[in-house]
Amino acid sequence: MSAQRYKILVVEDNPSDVELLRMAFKQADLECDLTVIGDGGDALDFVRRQSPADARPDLAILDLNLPRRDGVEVLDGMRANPALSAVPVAVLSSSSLPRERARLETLHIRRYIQKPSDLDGFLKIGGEVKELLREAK
Amino acid sequence: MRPFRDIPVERKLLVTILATTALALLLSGLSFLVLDTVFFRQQLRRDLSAQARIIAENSTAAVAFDDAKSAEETLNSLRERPHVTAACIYRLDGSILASYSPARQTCPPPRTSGNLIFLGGRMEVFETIALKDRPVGKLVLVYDLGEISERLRIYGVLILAVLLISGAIAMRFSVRLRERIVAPIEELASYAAHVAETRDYTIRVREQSRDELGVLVESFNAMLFSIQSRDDDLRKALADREQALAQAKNAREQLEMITDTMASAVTRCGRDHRLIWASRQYSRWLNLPPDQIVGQPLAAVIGEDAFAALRPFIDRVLTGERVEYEVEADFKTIGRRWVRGTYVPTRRENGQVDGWVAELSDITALKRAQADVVRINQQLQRSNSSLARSNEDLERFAYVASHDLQEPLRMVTTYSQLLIRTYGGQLRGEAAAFVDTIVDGTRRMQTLLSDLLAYTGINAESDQPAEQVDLNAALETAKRNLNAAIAESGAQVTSDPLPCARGHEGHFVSLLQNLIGNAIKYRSNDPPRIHIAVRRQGGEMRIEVSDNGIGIAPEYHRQIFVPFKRLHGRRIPGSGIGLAICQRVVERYGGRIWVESQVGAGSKFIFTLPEAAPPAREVAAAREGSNERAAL
Repeated sequence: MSAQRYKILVVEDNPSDVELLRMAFKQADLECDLTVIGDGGDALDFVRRQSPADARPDLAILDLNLPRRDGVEVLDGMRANPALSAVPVAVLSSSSLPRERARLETLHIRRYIQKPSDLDGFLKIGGEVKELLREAK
Repeated sequence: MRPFRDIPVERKLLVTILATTALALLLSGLSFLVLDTVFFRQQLRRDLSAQARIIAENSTAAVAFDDAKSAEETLNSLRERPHVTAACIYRLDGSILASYSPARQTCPPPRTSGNLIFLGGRMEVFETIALKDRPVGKLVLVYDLGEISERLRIYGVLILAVLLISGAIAMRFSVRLRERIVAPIEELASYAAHVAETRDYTIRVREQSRDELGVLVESFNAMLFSIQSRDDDLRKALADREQALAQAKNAREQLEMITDTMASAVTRCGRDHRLIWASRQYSRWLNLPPDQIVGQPLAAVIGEDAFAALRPFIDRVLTGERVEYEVEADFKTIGRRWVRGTYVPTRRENGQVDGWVAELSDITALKRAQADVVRINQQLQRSNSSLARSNEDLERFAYVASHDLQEPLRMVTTYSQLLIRTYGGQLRGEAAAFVDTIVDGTRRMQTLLSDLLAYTGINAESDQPAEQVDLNAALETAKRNLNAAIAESGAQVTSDPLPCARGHEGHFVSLLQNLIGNAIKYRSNDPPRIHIAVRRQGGEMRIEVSDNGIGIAPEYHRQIFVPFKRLHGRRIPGSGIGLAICQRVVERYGGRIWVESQVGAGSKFIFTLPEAAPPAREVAAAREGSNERAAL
């Protein structure tokens, strides 16, 4: 339908969840290119290296629990880099810990999405992300 | 025979009077006798000489004429004198011319010299007969001196008679004297003896005369009086002394009784650091006999080391300060001890400090026990904190585990569903049922994990600060969360205006939600009627959630609060964590929770919370309207 292809940065260490995300986007008819980084340290390197010349992602989906560096550090790295500071961020996390949630509230992220515990819930994320992208336009 | 001074006064007086009288009489009689004899002799001599001369002159003629007859007649004139026993007239040749001899006595021959001699019992008188100065003869007279003896005899008889008479008179006098002198003296003596014997100084001797005896009696009475008063004084002084002694003894006994029953030892010391007094406890404590304590220098009793340790406190108490101390010191007789002492200065009447009283307790055992307690406390604290740590670790582990286990479980669930979704049509009979069972199991496990997470989360989230929570708002949230169940069951939930409480709102929501949810879940055949009442008592709030449900048998009233304990099978869904969560929440905020219920009579879950500082009256009032609306 839409010729527009979105560029989405996914920082997620669980390939199964990445696979489920792809399925959800597909189900929501979301045409997008995913840049997937499965490691906190790599992600931090990536966001630091990004320059304005590079193609800017339309959305970043961050998991908080990552190997080596956690999602918040990656988020900070993004905010510190002018090339990425304007990119809307959705946090996708399985964590339901109130402490984490309290921390997120101070980070001014666009959306907090708790990883749903069933398939239907997960597939609904596709619509949610589509909505976010539309808002961001 | 008794000496004179020992014989009775009466006899003395008698003897004195008699002796004096007799001596006076004798002396005067004798002197009178002697004088009389002397005078009589002289007179006799003169008399006889004169008589002899007269006779000689009268006989001159007879001699001259040798006329014996007339001579004899002349001599016969001597008859007038009875005591002239013989008289002779001698011629010159010595022959007798005439003689006179009434007693037939011969005349002595005439003497040539002298004219008078005393011879034996007679006196001889010689006289010369002369005629015209020519001797013609001699006259001799013999005079018998028996007259004198007779006179002496008469005098002696007289003196004797006078003696006897005066003796009798003296006797009479002495009797009178006895009455007047001796009797009063004797009376005085008997009184004195009586007084000496009975020590009765109150009697007085009757005064009979105004003489020296009277004075004596008066003096005696005065003496008795003064003795009596002195005796009284003495007696009083003695009584006072005895009383004082008794009091002192009493006080001493009391002091000893008190100090004996005291657990601590008591001593008194002087400025010179010598012990003046020590209680038995002290000597028992130091293991020393009292005589090695009292009067001894403190340093000698407890040893130089201990004395040096106590010296600062001694110096302070001697400045007049009350001193309390605890010190460890090395005592000579009993070794190292911890002592707790109180020194109180003692003062003279002028206020000068003259020593101190010490009250001493051996607190060695106490100190040891204290050290033990400290050590044990430290151990306890260590093990407590390690317990708390391990408990915390365990909770954190359970929390983290239940949280992290959700992640793989989510994968299993999601991919099982994906399996059914994608290949459901290709699975045959049994295979599809197996996959359904897997999905069902994972769902249940998810529920369990999230309940466990909620349960362990109550304490795990303790680092968040507590806040004032309006329980009315919490109730609203809980009811909203239970909306479906309330609507489905037709439940009516009513509430008194609820107070505020300190804590996390989520916890109170969870508490109320679980209680109301249970009331709906375990309902009877009637639509649930749930009421939340509030009571305040004893500084705590008591919140009661009553329902008209199936009730709980008393034997399960405790069990229901144990995590994952359920009274019902799968017929009623639930993990059995709800009431455990309620209990955790209530206990976390310092309250208690219990149930009052009977089977078929509904249940009343009661929990208490400490009274929150300001009861949110305004909030409660504002909520009242909405509470009414809340009743569905």
